[in-house]
Amino acid sequence: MKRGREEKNSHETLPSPTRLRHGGVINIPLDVTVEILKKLPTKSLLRFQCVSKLWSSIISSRRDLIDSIITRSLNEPPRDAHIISLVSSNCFPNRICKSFIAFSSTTCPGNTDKELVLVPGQYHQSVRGLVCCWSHFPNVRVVEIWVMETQGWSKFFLCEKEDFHSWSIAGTTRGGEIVLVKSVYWSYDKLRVYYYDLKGNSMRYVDLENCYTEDGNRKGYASTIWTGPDHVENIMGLH
Amino acid sequence: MSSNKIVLTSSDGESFEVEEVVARKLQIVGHMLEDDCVINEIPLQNVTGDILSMVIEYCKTHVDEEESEEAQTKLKTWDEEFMKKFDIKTLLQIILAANYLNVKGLLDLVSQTIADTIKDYTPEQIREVFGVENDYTEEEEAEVRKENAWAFDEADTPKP
Repeated sequence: MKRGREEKNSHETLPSPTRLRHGGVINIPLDVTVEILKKLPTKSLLRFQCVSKLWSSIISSRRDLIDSIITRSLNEPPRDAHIISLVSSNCFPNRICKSFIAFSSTTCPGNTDKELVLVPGQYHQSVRGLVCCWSHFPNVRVVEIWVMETQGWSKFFLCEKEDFHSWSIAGTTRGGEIVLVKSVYWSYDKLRVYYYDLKGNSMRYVDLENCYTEDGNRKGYASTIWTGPDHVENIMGLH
Repeated sequence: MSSNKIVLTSSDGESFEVEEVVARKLQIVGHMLEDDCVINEIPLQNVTGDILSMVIEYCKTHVDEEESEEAQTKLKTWDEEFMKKFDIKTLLQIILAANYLNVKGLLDLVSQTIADTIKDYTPEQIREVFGVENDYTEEEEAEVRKENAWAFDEADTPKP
């Protein structure tokens, strides 16, 4: 390679690349920004929603961005999550009740991860790498979902609803929706099933009628809820 | 492969004579060569000489991508060392160039390096580096921060 002028040996002498004094800033094209964002951990993405309205809308609505988070999580080596609930007398009557999640690697036995994550609530459930946290205590209206990815565990979404206690994850749909149902419900009510779409950050619901038992208007427990494919598939591909 | 030489000229008039196989790693050049195979000098308007020389250095190293594990490991080590040389502002210039010149491997490498560099930044630092204007009102920003308070736990958040 021949160079047309003398070698400059320090990149530090370059003018600032992103700021032009009068024309504002060099425009970093949207697709380049997205390429960078795709490679960031969820925690950074949540923080960067504060950067500007445009960044916030890219982060919360770009499908390819959310796809890459999920893909990254699916590519993680399997680890076991041990959920340790701290039930102390301080939990009553307030809703201050916390739990820890500790992890161990199933691929390298003995190599227990020391990572501890503090999550809210007393009740947790894990479905395909998503840990759902909620609580039965009054006034707790929050369901949180945590996801494992390259940089550790991240809170993926936080859903707040008036009656959001005693909900649990019933499973995930093939389209990537998380199915939430209330595990305790009044049997004279309709049984409402929520489908939370991770990609679109939107929620839809279906009401199931006639879900009551013979003995009438008692409290019902939809305690055994599970989801399965409606046909045989290769389950090895799921983790 | 032919040892045909191509001259690439940067926006600030610096020229680089490289082998055609190296120049073809820049897909923008590849397309031009397909359109008209007699070109031997190509002006590249959106990239300065300093940055173009980095891109060419990358392309020369990656010109024969061997399949063997050993070669791949060696390249990966080279990539890491190569990236260590740059600060965040230079990295952003390189990513713009990689995007414009359409060098896929470099685009992936630089975007990962940038992500690793900025992952613990505060929103203020991001605005500074990316030159993004904060279009939130104070109240709106406080609200978004509150919603994502968890994500600020470990970040070095300046107090308002």
